[in-house]
Amino acid sequence: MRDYQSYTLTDLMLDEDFIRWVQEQRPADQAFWDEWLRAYPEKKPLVIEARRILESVDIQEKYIPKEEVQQETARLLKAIGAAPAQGLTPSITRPFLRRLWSAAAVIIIGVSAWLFLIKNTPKTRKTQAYAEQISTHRLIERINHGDKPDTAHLSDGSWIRIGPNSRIAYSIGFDTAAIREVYLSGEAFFQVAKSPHHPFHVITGEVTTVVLGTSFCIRSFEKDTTIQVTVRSGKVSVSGIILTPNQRLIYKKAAQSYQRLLLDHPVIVAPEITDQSMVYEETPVEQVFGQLSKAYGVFIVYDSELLHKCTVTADLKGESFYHKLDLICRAIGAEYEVIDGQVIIQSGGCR
Amino acid sequence: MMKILSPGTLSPDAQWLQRLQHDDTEGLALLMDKYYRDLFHYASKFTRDEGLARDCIQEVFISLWERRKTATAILSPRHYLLRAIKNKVLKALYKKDRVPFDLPDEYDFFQEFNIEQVIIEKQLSEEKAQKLRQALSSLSKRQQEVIYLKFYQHLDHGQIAEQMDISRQSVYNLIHESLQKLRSVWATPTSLPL
Repeated sequence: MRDYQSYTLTDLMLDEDFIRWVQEQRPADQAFWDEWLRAYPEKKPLVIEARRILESVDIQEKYIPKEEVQQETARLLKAIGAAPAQGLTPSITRPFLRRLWSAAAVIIIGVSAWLFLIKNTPKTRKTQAYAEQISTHRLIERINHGDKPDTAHLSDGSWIRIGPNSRIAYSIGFDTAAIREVYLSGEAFFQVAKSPHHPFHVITGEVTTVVLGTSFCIRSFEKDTTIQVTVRSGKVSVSGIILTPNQRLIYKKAAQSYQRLLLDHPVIVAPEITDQSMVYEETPVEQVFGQLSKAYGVFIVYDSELLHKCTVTADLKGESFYHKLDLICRAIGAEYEVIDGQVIIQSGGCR
Repeated sequence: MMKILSPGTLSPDAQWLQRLQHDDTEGLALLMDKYYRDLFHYASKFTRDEGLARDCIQEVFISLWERRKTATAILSPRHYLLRAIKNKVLKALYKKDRVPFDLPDEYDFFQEFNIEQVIIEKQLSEEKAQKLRQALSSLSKRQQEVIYLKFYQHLDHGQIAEQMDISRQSVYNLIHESLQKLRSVWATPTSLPL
């Protein structure tokens, strides 16, 4: 364990994890640094300063087209006496077909799987790296033409329930790649197997959803004007916005804006808290909110100084989430508001 | 079922080196495909001659092919290739054929920063923008190289030391000095320990 207590700006800048966090914004790193900052709150200004410096150093690199890489690879293969056509360049048709046949041999018949290459126009340094990755990965596509959901089981233990008229694609070496990437067009529910060193990304048009181990639903039909991500359990990050259970993010394509909502019917996500246990007698309200927050995975924001004298006596069994909130708030003379997917309690306090 | 298709749990780099060791030219092609851009960018820091940069990359991979029987001994292909390309380019530039090859004391490092891009993205004030230009232009060649190897090629502390033929302490000092220059741009009333 590194001695973070004495960490200086220079130490941060030499820390590969820190640099990756700032440059790549992976969710695993986000969780780690959030925790880190909670543990060392006094280091926050240092982290902010380090981020700023890192972000202000942007090095100009010449863009190198794929053709140049292919050409130089062909030249290399010729130089070592290997015929270029047997390698991967300049044309990728041959291994592409070879892989297609070996894939077809093991994939259960009835699944319409084939390979294709995704076209990508590199814009920034980051998407360029992604384009490079795509060019070396052949993808398997799975389409659900039917009117019932179809489930795809992936090699890493994750499964995806593909909605009607929806399709997904992923690479053959998907589970061994540094990042597990799945492309989606349409609607699908994801149950993602935990693998902290292999982040799971779902790419839908201009929005990428980043996952650790969790289940969530994405709706992204081309005809829709929005892309929606809904979290069932765990945590996902969509373009840097963290989504927790029972939250939905709506991305409006035209306005390129994001809106975070709480679902209309939140469900309990923490199995250790049962609905039956939600009976309270003279219980401090903070404890009640704590349990509610944990049960539904929803942030509840309140002023603990104001509320520390409030107690609740109520039977909340079988009530919906919002009705539970109503009952608690009525008991302590408070009101609530849902802003940005979080519950904000407003109260004048209790005597 | 699908598991059959995945080639194992080794990282792609390690798999390719293994294929290389078994005389599989595709292993070499895949390494080239992955690292070509990084190597070209790094080579271009030492020379503006793009033809020379390309030829040096060819030579580096040909050497790798020639030593393929011991390829799996390479722990980090990225580090190995970056080190090889630097030596190859500087050797070509300074015509030093001595073995082992020593890095010349002084060598160029052409690096351009996207300053205007940062100024727009971060909406910097004219004063801050001016400070940033000044800070970046005051970085020495070696400071720039350290920053480049750290932020862009993601080498670790020890690898940078090896790459630049300096001690780990010198790497630390170079980073420290660079940061001192850069942090002046963002100087806040509360001063923090570096």
